[in-house]
Amino acid sequence: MPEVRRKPRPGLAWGFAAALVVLSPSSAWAVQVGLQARVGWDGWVKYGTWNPVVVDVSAAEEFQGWLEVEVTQEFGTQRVQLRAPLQLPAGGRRRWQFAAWLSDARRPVRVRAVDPAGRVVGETEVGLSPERAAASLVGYLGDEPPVPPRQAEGGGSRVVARLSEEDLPHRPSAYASLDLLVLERLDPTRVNADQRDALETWVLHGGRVVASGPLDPEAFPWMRIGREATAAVPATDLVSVRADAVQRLVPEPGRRPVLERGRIVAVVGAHGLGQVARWAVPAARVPPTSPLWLLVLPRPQPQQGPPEPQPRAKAPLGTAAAWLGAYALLWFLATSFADGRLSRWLVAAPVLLVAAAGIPAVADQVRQAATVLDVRGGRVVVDGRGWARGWGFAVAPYRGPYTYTLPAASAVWVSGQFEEATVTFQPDRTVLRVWQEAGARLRVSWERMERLDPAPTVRWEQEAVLVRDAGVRAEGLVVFRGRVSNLEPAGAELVGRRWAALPASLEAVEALRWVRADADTIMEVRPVAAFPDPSSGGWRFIVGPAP
Amino acid sequence: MNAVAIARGDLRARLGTRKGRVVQLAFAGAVWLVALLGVAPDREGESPLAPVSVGLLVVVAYLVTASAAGEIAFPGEKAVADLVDSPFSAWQVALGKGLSTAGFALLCTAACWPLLWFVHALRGGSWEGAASQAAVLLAVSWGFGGVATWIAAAVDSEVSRSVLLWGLVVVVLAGAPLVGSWAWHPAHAVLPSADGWARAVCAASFGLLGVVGLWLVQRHVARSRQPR
Repeated sequence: MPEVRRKPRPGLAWGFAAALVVLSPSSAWAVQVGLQARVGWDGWVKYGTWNPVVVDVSAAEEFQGWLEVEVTQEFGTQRVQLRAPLQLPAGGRRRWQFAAWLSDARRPVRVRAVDPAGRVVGETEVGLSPERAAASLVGYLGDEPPVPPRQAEGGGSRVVARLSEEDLPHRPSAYASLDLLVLERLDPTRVNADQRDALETWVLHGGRVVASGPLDPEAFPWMRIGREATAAVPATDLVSVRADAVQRLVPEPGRRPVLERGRIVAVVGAHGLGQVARWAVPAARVPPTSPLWLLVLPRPQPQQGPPEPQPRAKAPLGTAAAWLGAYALLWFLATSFADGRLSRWLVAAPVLLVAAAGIPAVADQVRQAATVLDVRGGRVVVDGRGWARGWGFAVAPYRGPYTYTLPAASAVWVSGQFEEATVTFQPDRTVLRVWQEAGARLRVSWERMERLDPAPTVRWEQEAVLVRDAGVRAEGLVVFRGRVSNLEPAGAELVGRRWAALPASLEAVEALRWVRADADTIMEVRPVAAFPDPSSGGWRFIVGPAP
Repeated sequence: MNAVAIARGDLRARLGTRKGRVVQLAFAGAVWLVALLGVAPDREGESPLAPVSVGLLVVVAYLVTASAAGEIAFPGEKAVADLVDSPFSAWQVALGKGLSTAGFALLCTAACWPLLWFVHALRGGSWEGAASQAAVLLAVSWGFGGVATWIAAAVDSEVSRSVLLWGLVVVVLAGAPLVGSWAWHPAHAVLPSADGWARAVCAASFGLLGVVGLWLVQRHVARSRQPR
C-alpha cells in the first residue's frame, strides 16, 4: 500500500490563527492597568458627605482612557460614576483623588480603568461596612493617637483615624468628612503643593486643626499661633490636662490664650473662617473630658443648601419647530423636485435619508434645550481663596438621557430620581450624563475652588468698610453687625459707610446662609461684602477679618 | 407595464402639478404641526406620543383616501371612469390604481416616519418603534385608498360618494372603538404601546381591505365594459 502523504495546508493554519484572533476576548490585547484604591480616612468614612477616594494607578504600557469610581446610593437603587481622563506613560504610576459622596453603607465602591473603546482594563473594589462608619472623624498624624470624647455632639460615635502625609487630600472638598485634624508630626517634604493648598483652603473656609507637636514654621506659616516658652509648668495644678509637664505657651499678638487653673495650656487662633489651635502637651495626654476638646471640635451644623424650587418641565417649542420645520420644508422641496419621476427620486431620496439619519441628534438637541438647570449658589472668598458651592435643579420633560454641563468642579453630588448617572470631570467643565424618566426630579450640587490674584480685601476702618480689588465697581453691599450698607466707589476702593438696619429678608444674606451654615455668626464678627455673581447663579461674598 | 404607466401618471399629477405641490405643502405643514404637539412634556405618565400617532394616522389616511377617491382632484389624473374607455384591461386598471395608491401612501408615510421617529427619540425610543407604527399608517391608508378608489368608480353621485366614503372612514376609525376595545383597531394598533401582533393583524386586515377594494374596481371596470 503506497504511503499517503498529506499535503501541507498552510492556508488551514492561517485560517485557524485568524479564527483565534477573531474569537479571543478582545481584552487580551488591551493594556492592563493596575489599580489600588482606598476610601475614607484610614478606612473610616462618614456618610452623607464627601469622603476621599484615593486610587493608585499603574500601567506597564502607555495608556490613555478613563478612570471611573462608582458609588451606589439609595440602598443600591442608584449608581453614580465619577470619571476622570487618565493618561499614563509606559511604566507610569499616578495617584488620583476623588471626593465621593457616600450614603450607602452596604455596597462597595468600585474603581475601574476603561480604555477609549469602553473595555474595562483594570478593576478593583473597596468594601464599605456600617462598622467602619462614624458620626464624627478626627484625623491624626503622629505616633500616639489622642482620645477625644467618644460621643459626637449630634449622637453617634467619634473615631480617630491615623493618617500619614500621603493621606492628606488634594481636594479641599474631601475634608468635608473630617471634623478635626490633629497634627503632631507633619513632614513638609512629604506633602506636595496641592495637599498643602487643599489643607490651607479647608482651614480658611472653616476647617479646624490642632498642632501639638514640632511643626516647620517655614512650611506652614499659617499654623504659627503661639511661641513656646522653655519653662515647664507643674501639672499638679491642672485637672484636665494630666501631664507630667506642660509647656507654657505665649500667644502671638492677636491670638487667644486658653487658661486652665491659671496656666496657659493652649492658644487658639482664627485662620480665615477656620481655627488653628496649639496645645502645650501631646494630644494623647489631653483626656476626653478636657475642655480643650470642646474648644476645637466643631458643633454639628444643619445641612446647607437652598430650598428646592418647583421647576416645571418646559417644552422647547422654538428649537423643535425650527428643526421639524426645516425637515418638512426639505421634504416639500424634494417632492417638488422629484415631480413623480423615478430618476429624480434617485437623487431626492438619498438627501431625505441623510436628513432622516440626523433625527436622533436633533431629538437630543431639543431634549437638552428642554432641561436647563435652575442654578443657585454662591462663592465665598477668604484671603484670596474662593470656595464656590452650587446647586442645580431640573425636571425631565421626557424619558431619556440628559446631559448637564456644570462649571469645572472638584466634587459633585447627584441626587433625586434616576438610576444611573455619570459625572465626567474635565479641566474646563464637568459633564453630568443621567437617564431620567419623564417628570423625574434631579438635584445636583457641586463645589469648586479658585485662587484670586490679586486677592480682594475687606477691612473695617473708622465705622466704614473698605473693599479693594473686588473685580467690580458697584452694585455691591456690605453686611456687618446686623447692619447693611451699599458700596460706593471711592478712588480705587469701594466704601460702605451709610449703615441701615439689616432687613428681615435680604437676598444676599439668604444666599450666604445657603453656602455657610454659620452665616449669621460670620456676619456678626466680620464684615462681609456681597456682589451679584451671575456666573455662579447667586452671589460672591468677600469675607474680611474681624476688626 | 401598462399598470405602471397608470400609476406613474397619477403620481406625476399628485406631485408635479401646481395643485399637487400646494397639497404637498399643506400636508407637510399638517404633519409638522402634529409632530410639534409631540414636543409637549410628558405629564403624570401621559405622553403626547399617543395623540401624535393617531393624528398622523388621520392626516395620512385622509390625504391618501381623498386622493384615491378624487375628492382632491389633481389636474391630469385619470379617474377609473376615464380608464373604462381606455385600451387597458380591467386588471391593469385596478393594478395601476392600486400601485398609485400604494406609492402615494408610501410617500406620505415616508414623510411622517422621521417626524414620528423624532418624537420617539425625544423620549429615548428607537427608530424600530416608529417604523412599526409607520407600517400601520401605510397599511391603513392603502386599505382606505383601495376602498375609496372603488367607491369613486361605483357611485356616480358626488354627494352620495362623499357621504358614503367619509361615513365609512369615520365609522371605522372613530365609531368602531366605541363599540368595543379591539387591540388590532388602527386607533389602538398605531399607539406606541400596541403589541406587535395587534399591529400585524391591523396591517394585514387593511392590506386585505385594499386588495378587496381593487378587486371590486376590476369587477366594476369589467362590468362597465359589458354591452347593456
